[in-house]
Amino acid sequence: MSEGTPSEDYSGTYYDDAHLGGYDNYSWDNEEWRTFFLSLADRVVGIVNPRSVLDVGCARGLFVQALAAKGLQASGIDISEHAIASAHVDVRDRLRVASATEPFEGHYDLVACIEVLEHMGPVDAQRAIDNIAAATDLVLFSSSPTDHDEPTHINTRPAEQWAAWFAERGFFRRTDVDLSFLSPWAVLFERRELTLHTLAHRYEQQLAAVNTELMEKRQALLESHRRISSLNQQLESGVSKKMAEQAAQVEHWQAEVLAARHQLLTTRDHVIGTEAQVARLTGDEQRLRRELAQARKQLVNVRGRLKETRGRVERLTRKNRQLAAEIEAVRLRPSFARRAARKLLGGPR
Amino acid sequence: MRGPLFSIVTPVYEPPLDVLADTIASVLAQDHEDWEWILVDDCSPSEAVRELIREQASADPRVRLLERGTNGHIVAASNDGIDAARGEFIVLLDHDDLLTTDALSANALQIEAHEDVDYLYSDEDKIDDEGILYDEFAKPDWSPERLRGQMYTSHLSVMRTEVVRRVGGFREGYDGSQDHDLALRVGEVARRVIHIPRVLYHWRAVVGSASADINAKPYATIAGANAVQDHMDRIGLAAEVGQGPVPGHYRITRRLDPDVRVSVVIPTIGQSDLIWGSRRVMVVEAVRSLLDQTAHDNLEVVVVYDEPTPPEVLRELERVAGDRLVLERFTRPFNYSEKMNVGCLRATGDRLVFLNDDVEVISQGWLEQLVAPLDELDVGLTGARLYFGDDTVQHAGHAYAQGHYLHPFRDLPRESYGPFGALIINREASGVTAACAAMRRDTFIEIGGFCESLPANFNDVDLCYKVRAQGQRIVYVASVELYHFESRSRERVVHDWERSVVRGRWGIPLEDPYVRGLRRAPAGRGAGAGKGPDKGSGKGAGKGSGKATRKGAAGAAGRAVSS
Repeated sequence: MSEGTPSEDYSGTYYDDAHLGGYDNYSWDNEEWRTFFLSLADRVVGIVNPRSVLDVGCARGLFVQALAAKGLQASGIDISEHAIASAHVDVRDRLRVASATEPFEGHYDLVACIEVLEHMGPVDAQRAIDNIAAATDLVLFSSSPTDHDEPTHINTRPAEQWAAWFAERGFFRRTDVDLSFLSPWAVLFERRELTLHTLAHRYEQQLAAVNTELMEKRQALLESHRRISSLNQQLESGVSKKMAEQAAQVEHWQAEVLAARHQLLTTRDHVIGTEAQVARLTGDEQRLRRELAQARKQLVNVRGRLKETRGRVERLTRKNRQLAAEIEAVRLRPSFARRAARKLLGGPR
Repeated sequence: MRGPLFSIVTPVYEPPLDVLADTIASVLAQDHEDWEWILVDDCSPSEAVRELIREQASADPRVRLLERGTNGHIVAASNDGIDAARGEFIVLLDHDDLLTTDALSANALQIEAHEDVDYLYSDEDKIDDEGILYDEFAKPDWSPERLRGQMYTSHLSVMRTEVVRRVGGFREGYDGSQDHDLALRVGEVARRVIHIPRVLYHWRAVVGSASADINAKPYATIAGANAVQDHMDRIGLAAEVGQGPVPGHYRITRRLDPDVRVSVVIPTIGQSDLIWGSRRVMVVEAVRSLLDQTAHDNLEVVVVYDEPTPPEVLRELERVAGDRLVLERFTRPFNYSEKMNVGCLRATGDRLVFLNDDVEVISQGWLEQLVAPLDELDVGLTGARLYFGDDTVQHAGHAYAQGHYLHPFRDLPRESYGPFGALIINREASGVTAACAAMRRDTFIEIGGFCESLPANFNDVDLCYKVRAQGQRIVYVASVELYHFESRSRERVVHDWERSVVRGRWGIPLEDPYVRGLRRAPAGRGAGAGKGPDKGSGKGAGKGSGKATRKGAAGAAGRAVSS
């Protein structure tokens, strides 16, 4: 027994906390567990309709209780004293503490052995298979091929390994039965005398289905890959197109900024030039105004002088006229010399 | 006329008595009355010198003689005079020179008009033994960069006494260039500096005096370089000051911060031309030489090319300039201004260099020297010295005068110093050609870049006006030398409307503030009155003479700017 797992490994902690899919409270009172096992019992009745069932490794007897509830002669054994002790009161009598390495009493229409043999050492497991084979012709079997995290799984084996060991005892898979509602690897073994023809036919039938599925899935996978690849390409070209567009946009904006700065520069030049022009014109205007004022002043002066000069001209003209008159008067009068001569010479010639 | 009291300060050491008598007569003849004259005798061996001055002092109480107990040389003697001064302004007069009769009154007029003036200087000429006046120096308006290249302000220098005392007067150790040193220090702090564009001072060329031959006093040029170096250090400009090719002229070599990003912008159409007998693609050689002649790494070359530019030219440019090249295609009709604006807006540098594609850089470190002066924020634009392919001057700064836009030193031989050293020292100018010029990027943006209403001619003239309208200086940098293979005989059509645009904005230029006494070259002109087509006429009068100080600015002839 050193290689197996003793009763102590399956205490309250095992059932209530750490194990069994994380459901709390592994008991008949738990509705979810109860519903699960009642449904399982229904399926079993539907598939094989047994009268008597032995559940090897029955734990707290929930499956036994469900089968009993369906009116079947059900009983169970388990190595865990705790499990049996903590079983529901209605099922307690149908259960007993026992190891699967010990031969079972009696013969059953069906023996269930669900998730049990992986907890036993390899030698114990072979003994258990022997005992099961001795007690029935029909086995509801499930043993996790993985789930290595569970510490008491000391003997996980692939499904074909268990099938081979059952085949050694004359049991073969019922390929017409699908137990995947119990577990992906659950199988119904039946003791039958089969010809090689039948056996090959059964397995080829399974293999063909799987092969077909595999081929179809491969094809689907390939197509998916191609689709992904084409989508990727579309995406990439879309992205690069987008990037090219954005780069062009950036370039366009840069050109616009440059043009705007250029516009600003020339505007500034225009403003500065205009300001300079205004300043120059203002200066010119001021100078011209000064010159105008000066010219006006000169004009006033000139006018004054003109008036003055005209006055003088008038005065002089008057005087001139007066003098001319006097001259004329003098001229009209004969001169003294002439008068004297006339007197002396005695009258004009 | 009455006004501010001037303290004329004259250190005296053994002048010929007749010369001193002339100097005395020129002061007594002043038509401005409010002056005192402090003559500081620096232990002249002849008692007659002191006797002559005492005689004057007894006749006119405004004349004072200070007699030094020991010979202290010019700095100590001048400082004694400054200490004794009671006037508001110091007037510096040497013991053998002459003031014009209106020297003080002309200064008094300016002081009355500008109460914040701290420094006034005026034009000068020389007088020989026969009393003949010659070599008139028609000086530029206030030019701080030029003052670093030569002591151009003296004489006559008139400085606010309080400012002279504040900066510490003359400094020992700068004998021979003590006036240059003082002018630099006063110029640094002066609120306003005024140039009176009239000769108020006759400088006597007595043998042994500085005016006759500066080589007689080699210590003076060493002191001068030290004074300029001190000045650059004081105002925090990284530069090295050395001797120029003529005594009394200094070469400023600035340091450009390697982190400053520079963009050289070149417009081109990718043409080829025959230069010195071999065919070259102009823009390629321009780029090659500009890169060869600079050590500045933080550089990009923005080439704005017109569509007809051959693709192999662009590939060659890529080969020459590598990842420093930025190509900008220009598809609109030719417009130099627009091309440059597009290129400058595209440029990423803090400093922009405008460069024509028909140039070849000659001088190593050209980029650094062209760009570095822009670190002074009141410098808005810098330009270069350009030669034609036959080694005559094409450009050394613009001048705008007599209604024209001129290249005043055109056709002088390459080795010429120019009038009063104008070609060999850095100096302020009214403008520079955009064939090679540099500007801060922010200034370019602020002034609106090149005027696109001027697509071919005068756009650089307008740019220069805009820079100066912002209150910024334009500096010609003598050490930046390039060939400019502009065809001398090419008839460039200048339209009246182009000139009208510039005149409309800035008026008709009369007298250039920096290159004075210009007369227009009497060259035959095309219909647009642009550039004289034949090189035979209009040569500068000073051409060919090697001696910088012997040339009159009046001799400078102008050639029209049309590019």
